[in-house]
Amino acid sequence: MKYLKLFLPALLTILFFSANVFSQDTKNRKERIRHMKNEDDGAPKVGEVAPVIKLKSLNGKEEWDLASFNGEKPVVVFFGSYT
Amino acid sequence: MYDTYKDIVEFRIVYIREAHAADSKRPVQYAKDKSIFNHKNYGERCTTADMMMQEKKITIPCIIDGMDNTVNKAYKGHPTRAFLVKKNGVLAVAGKRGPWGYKPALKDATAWLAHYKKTDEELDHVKSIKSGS
Repeated sequence: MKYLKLFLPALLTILFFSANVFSQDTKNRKERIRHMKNEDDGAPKVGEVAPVIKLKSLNGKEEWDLASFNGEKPVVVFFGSYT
Repeated sequence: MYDTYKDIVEFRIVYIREAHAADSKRPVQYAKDKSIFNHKNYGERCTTADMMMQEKKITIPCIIDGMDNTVNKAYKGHPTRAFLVKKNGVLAVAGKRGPWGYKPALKDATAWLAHYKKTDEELDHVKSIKSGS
């Protein structure tokens, strides 16, 4: 009982500060995500001419050029990686 | 989307530098499990891209960004992003940075493509479908 009286306030204090830190961290993360969603990061925009893409295919045998589809077909381009 | 429109539209995946490689600031667990590290050379980049295409069973043709990341920088493609380019080379859909911006861009691209397939008309942007102008 004596130990409980001693440790309980300490435990509650630790829990209180941990919750505060967690809450602040979550708030910061949400804020960061909101900023990333709205920021103008200089990416090409609708109405602008698409930048040049002239790259080799995965098998290395062909060179793919976005400009070669001008006047031919619309093109959908996805950017990504494995992870 | 690819299967529905591949006959009338060209699709490409631009494989760029890894977003969450095992040796990056924010690695994902499967990058560690599969030993996916930041590429040191173009050969490594191609190998990881091939692994991605095989394991995720992706059928869209893939092109590989160079080690100077030129195309990634021009489009701010990292970590993931989607664009739709009209026949005149102008962007009709320009997604925001992924992962948050990716799904809305896919939705816009799908709407644009459906309209294009139906009418053969290339809209300047997707808002014109919504507003009917």
